[in-house]
Amino acid sequence: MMDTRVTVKTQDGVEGMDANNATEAAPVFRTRDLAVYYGDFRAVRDVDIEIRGQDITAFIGPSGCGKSTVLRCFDRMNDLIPSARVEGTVEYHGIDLYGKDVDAVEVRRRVGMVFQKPNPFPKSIYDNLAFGPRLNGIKKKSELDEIVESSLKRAALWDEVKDRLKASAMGLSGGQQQRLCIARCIAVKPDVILMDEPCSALDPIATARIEDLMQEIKQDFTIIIVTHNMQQAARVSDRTAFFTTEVNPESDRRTGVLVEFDDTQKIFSNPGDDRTEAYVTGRFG
Amino acid sequence: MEETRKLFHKDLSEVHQELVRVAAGIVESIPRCTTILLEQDLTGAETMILADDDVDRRTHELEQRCIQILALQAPVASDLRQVVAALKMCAELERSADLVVNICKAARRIYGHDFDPRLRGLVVKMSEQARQLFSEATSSYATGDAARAAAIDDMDAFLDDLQRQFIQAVLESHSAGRIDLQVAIQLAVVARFYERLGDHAVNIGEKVRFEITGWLPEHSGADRFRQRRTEGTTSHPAGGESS
Amino acid sequence: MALATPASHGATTAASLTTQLTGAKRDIRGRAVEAVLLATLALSLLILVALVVNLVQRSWPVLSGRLGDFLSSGLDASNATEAGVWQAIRGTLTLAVIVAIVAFPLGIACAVFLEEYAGKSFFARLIRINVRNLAGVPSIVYGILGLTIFVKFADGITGGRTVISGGLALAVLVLPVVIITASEALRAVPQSIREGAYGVGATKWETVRSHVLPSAAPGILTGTVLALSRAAGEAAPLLLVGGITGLLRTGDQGLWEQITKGGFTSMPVAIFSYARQTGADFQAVTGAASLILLILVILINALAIWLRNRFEKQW
Repeated sequence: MMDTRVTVKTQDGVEGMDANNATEAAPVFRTRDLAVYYGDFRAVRDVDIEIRGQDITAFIGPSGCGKSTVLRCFDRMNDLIPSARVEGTVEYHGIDLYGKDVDAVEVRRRVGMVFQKPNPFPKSIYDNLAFGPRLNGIKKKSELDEIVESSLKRAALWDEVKDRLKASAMGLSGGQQQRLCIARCIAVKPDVILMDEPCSALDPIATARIEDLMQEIKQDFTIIIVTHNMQQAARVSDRTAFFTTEVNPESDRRTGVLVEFDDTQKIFSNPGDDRTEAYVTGRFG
Repeated sequence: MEETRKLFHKDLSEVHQELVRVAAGIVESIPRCTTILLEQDLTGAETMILADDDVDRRTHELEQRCIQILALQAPVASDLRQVVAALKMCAELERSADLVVNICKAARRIYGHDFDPRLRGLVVKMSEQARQLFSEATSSYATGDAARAAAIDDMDAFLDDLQRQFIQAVLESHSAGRIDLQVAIQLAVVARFYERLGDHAVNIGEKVRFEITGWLPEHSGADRFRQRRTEGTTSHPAGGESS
Repeated sequence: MALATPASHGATTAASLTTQLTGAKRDIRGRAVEAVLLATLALSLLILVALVVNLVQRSWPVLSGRLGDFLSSGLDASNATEAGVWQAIRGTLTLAVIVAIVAFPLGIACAVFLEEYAGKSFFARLIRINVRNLAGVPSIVYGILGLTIFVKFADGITGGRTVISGGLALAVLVLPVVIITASEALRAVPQSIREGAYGVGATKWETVRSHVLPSAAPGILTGTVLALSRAAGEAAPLLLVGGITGLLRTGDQGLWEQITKGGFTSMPVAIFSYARQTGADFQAVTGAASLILLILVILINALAIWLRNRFEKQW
């Protein structure tokens, strides 16, 4: 069902899927038989997926299909929900993420997350960005200043806030707050950035700026974005995973499943699975 | 789950049906223009030439509708292929209708001159083959039958053959003094028109295959170029390739 | 009242639309409710005002005549002209300090544990239920608890019937209130703030310390103020634990000795004491003392509100 690890980017259109030039890129994440339960309820099942480095991967699908749930497995955010239980394996650079000795806090230093509703801390802009580095032991003001500035620059926010770093972050607009949250993520120099519907609370211009930002920073971070906006997934991502729900015959509840995972241009021009076709074109029944 | 974007899908199917109607009209017009040619029917020719304006109008409107759909609906996957195929087909159909008009204009030019039964027989055969090709193309588009569309290419080979035979016969007729130079040239050109009609039918078949499966035809030139490049026999200055 | 849209009435003219929009029936029921609520508010305020007026009236002789003297004299239940509240004020303030030192850190720590660490286990639920029950226990029961444990059992530490025992008894009394209000304040902190902190790799304690507690601080402060007000106004436990009601001689002991070994009293206890005496003079004294206590409590509340506003502005 899944595509092989051919990494040649087809959107350039020059080389095509030339097998002679394909290089093996070790996956950043790999899941096997991943399933997540909330209490008795199986929210998503049998997810086998490989996320490649320096790619933007999008998860799309109708509501309740488990795409956010799967995303939150990658930084162990599901640990915060008492009734959540993860089965199967999630590997991060080959290491079992849910292994006994793995510290969730360390995981989250390397796998950052941006949420649907911007959630800046009720502190100054500077302190928002300095929080993470301070946790990591960086105390010198000059170093913190440098990190704050570079993170804000990469998040395309520096010019707008450089004169009011001490002002409260709550005074920024929604789009600015979300870019602040992205900068906050960048400030701890993670390996991966997970984005859970980052633009759904924003207007189209703010959304476009964040999409541009994603393209700019994807060289340095692996990005996985959950979005219910198919057009956004099409614009922004290199690979797209389509999830859907299936009714469980015994319990009559819906469980999420991974249907198709392929290059974005294929998903949106000629998807392999009929269910994917039905979802992206809006033809059901 | 219920179907969504119903208005959009209705739009798409209306475009599809209108294209089928235009194509069907062209299919019917092929034997008619042949009759006009063979019977040297001037009024008939006049009517058909004027009727082409209507085809132009209809394909133009279809093109505009397709562009509108692209702008407003952002189609993806099969919907996108359908719109792109429809856009390309407008061009094919419009050119095909023009070819029929050209045959009628040729009929006007050879008015008063007669040509021998062998030539006439070949014209009828070419016309029939072209009509059949175009009919196959139209049917495969109407029913979405990619396999049927793929078979059109083989039929076209026969038409090409007929055309060569006809040219041969025209040259013989001319050297035997049965027809004069003007008529010979016009007849040769008419043969081209029928052969081009067949080519357009093949193109339509390719569009159908693209719409159904996403398959894009690779023109032999691209393949040759790649061959040459991998063999290292091509040397061209930087930037010489266009995408 | 359904508004007729132009679409629903084909022949609606501008004029009829205007009358419909402007000549509408007034919302009688709504306004009646509003009037009743206003009246209730007025009545409550009236009662309060009447109380204060009554107090001032009663205590006027003392207030106008010997206010300074009143404030500096000691507890004396026998002689109205020499009775004062100075020791009672000192006692109340000392008790307040002890309550603050003991109950607040303890209560807030409990709340942090219950809300942030304990989760939804059976153990946690049990604790929460018990805390709520304890908040409703009558204060005199805490007096008996104080008597048994702080006065008798822990005699060596507290020194028996001292202000320390009294303070501890009051601290235990308000502890459930502090826990409950601090818990509410912590629960009100949106989860998104915690997630944001976790998202950059903070540990649970780092998240609580840097984000949750500061966010909840205004709410926690309000809760502690309420607790302090309650403690300042309690008489029953102190009566059992040893608040002096008759005559309190402090002599020439140093402050520390007074606190650890001497007798103590507080405003409510003093008021109770004076109220039991007969005679119009004592009535005035009682009224004056009540007024002073009221002012004291208002001052404590004002201080806490000021603190809370300062904290809120920082964020």
